[in-house]
Amino acid sequence: MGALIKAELRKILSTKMWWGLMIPAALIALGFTWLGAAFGTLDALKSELGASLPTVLPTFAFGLNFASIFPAVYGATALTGEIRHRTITTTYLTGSSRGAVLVAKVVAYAVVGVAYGLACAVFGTIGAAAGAHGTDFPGLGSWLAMCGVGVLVMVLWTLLGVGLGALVGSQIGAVLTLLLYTLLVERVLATVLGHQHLDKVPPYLPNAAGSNATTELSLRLFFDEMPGAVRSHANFQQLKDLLTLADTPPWWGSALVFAAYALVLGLAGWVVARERDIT
Amino acid sequence: MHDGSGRIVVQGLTKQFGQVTAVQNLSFTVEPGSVTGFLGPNGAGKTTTLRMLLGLVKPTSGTATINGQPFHRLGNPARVVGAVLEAQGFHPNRSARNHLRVYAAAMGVPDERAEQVLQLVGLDAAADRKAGGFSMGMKQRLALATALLGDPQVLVLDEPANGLDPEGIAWLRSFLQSFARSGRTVLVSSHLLAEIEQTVDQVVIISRGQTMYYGQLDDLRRQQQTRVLVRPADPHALVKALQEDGITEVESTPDGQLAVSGADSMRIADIALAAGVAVYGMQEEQLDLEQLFFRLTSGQFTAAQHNPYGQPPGGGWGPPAGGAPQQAYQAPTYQQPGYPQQNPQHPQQGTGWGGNA
Ligand SMILES: Nc1ncnc2c1ncn2[C@@H]1O[C@H](COP(=O)(O)OP(=O)(O)OP(=O)(O)O)[C@@H](O)[C@H]1O
Ligand SMILES: [Mg+2]
Repeated sequence: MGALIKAELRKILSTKMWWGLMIPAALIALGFTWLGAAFGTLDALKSELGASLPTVLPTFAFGLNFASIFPAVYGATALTGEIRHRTITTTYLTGSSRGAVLVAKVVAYAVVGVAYGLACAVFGTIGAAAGAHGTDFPGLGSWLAMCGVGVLVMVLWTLLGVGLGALVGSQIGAVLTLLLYTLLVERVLATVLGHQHLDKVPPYLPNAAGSNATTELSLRLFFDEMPGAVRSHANFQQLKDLLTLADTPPWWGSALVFAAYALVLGLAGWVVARERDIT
Repeated sequence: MHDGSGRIVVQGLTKQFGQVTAVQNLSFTVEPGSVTGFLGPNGAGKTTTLRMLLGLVKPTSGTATINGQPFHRLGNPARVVGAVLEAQGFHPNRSARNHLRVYAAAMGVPDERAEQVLQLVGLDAAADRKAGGFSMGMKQRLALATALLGDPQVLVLDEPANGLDPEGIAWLRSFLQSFARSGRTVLVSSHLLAEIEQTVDQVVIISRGQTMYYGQLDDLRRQQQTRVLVRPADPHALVKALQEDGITEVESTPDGQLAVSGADSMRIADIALAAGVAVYGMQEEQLDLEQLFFRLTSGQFTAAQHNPYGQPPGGGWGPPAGGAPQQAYQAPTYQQPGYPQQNPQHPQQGTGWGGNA
């Protein structure tokens, strides 16, 4: 198994796409934290509230959510790229079984997911520091918690991509499915469900679950870090309502739901990939 | 685990792609210590069979084993069997060296092995170039290098000569022979018998997914027979007379002649005379291996009956290192005196390899 993981890591590192997609992800994280930090430390706001607002926490979450499409797309190329370039033949000929190859890919791409998460954490931190001109950085615990959940969702998105790719088989098909679903289909679906009075369902859809894992945590931390004067439970609920997060489970619940989607896609991908004819 | 015998056994292999039956009830055995040719025209099912043997395509029915085990039970398969299935299996932006290192890692062989096989196939100078920029022949070499990476006991190659220059082909030929002579197994496919005739000891000939011949090439050579093409005034009367004389192997050719086997032209002339059938022309035809191969596989495509490029049959494989044997082979076959006139439907006679059925 170790041999196959090493082979997968070599495959990843011997082409450029892993960092090619990491750059936009990291820049998105940086941009969002920059804006959030700059807004929360505006002089006008500070003089109104008497303290700065840790808005950088939720904007970090938004940034992570946007950025996560990149590791997901990268994950989706794990198997489909090999099918496209026909290296899958040699890959299957040099692995003890297709299952072993897929497990090796999952492990190697989880490592890549961690790298994406760390890159976003580092660049997000730079953005947060720069946006606030080096002042009013949120509490270290809160920040590290956000970085941690960022790494977690990046890994999960990468693996969801791997599973989807194994299931779909075609690279274009997998990437388009991913983009269309996250950017369009789920929004439409959520709206339709809302009209059917099924508002409780949308937070459990994949994209919402993945996003809410970071957003819900960021709101909790934001609330914890808010100046005492404006901190109340009612405010927290109002904030959630405002972001249409009223019915979401706690962040770890969303993360679990999202992980379940990644797992189901991975298993489905495995079942399909082991039967697929490589002609 | 596998038995280390080096034997390939294909039993009752069938593959259905939707409505298309690519391979139908195919059975053969490949023994170690020899090079086995796997022959058939385009679309005969060669690639599909080899991919089923290697676990890449799931058979509709039947089994294929290497060393007594199906591919997925070989453990670390690349240490047992190396395969060249296509010369396209490279990431265009990965260098040849990195490509080999990836798979060296997968099969657990040291990285030096990548350098060794690069040298073996003569790609060491191009090792750091991206495989996407390689020529067809360079890709074939890299594919072969990948197959040899695990120092396997069995080699399976699907049309490995495609794109190779004459030097490369001569090298490949002697490489495969010495590989087999060391007691290992080689199964190599081709759609041209002439291409591998010099290399193989045993052949499996398939057509439309079915086995047409399976055995020693020498036995096939012994089957080479003479037949006589007769143009009689009354074919029915002549066939009857021949049958009365005990000559039953008579076929009619598409252009209205009779192809008679098992009798020489003098005897046929005597029979025709006795029966009072006028004979307008008669030619003795010596079937060579290539023609035998074509007869075994003909009918799959009528379009295959002439070669639009007019290339001599030896051309696909290029002149061998020694040159001489193949020259000797080509000459008597395609420059038979009078032969081209016999089959006016095929004006390319004498150049196309497939027009002789
Ligand atoms: N993936 C596929 N889907 C449908 N039909 C297929 C597929 N792969 C092969 N076939 C069909 O199966 C038959 C055998 O194809 P195969 O590639 O095995 O032939 P071949 O002997 O290797 O031919 P060639 O000499 O051209 O390489 C052909 O009719 C082909 O069209
Ligand atoms: Mg083929």
